[in-house]
Amino acid sequence: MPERRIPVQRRKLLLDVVIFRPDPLDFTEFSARGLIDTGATVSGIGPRVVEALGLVSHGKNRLGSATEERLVDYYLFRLGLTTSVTDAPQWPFVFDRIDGFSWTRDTEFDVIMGMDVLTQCELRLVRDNCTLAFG
Amino acid sequence: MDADAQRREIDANYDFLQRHLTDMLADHAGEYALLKSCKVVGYYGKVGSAYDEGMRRFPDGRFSIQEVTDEPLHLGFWSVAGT
Repeated sequence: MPERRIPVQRRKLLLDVVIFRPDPLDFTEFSARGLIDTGATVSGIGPRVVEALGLVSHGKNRLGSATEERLVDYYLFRLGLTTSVTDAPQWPFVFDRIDGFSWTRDTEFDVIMGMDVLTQCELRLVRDNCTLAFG
Repeated sequence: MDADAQRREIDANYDFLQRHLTDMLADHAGEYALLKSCKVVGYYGKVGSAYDEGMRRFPDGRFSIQEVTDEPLHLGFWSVAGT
């Protein structure tokens, strides 16, 4: 199973990912920064991804947090991961379509990888050594 | 795609889903409902299947997909969605 080493940065697990539109034959891509978040039951995307790929919402749902609950727009997209970050071309492993929430504020990451994706992977965190196996 | 029309489609279908959610949960909890003009086109186990069928039947993309659930999805990084 392909494996990706993830540096622990300021108590966050951040990695480079690739986001595609939901159509299986559309490989227009957007290189994005992803946050691994085991506290999120679903994955989500930020405003830069929505704008860059011209995504159109196909639903809305309640999203709960520690302090409130609100309705947010949902978008379908595909998430791609590679085993390492190099200059050499590498075709990513692409997960099936994700029904993810969206947010509007600028953040240091563009994608939240929630438990819907992480339960398809092997995530290991031992002290500050983190690896994510997938595929 | 007309963004305002798609917004109206999503809003109307969401209201329809909420009004019929109790009945839907009995047989379709956890599935994805493909909705068009306040009618259920079908239920699907995977959201991708619902999307593919939606695009096949409605090439203009004017439809919505809603998970059949009465539980809010939860966000760990709460401050992001809070804005």
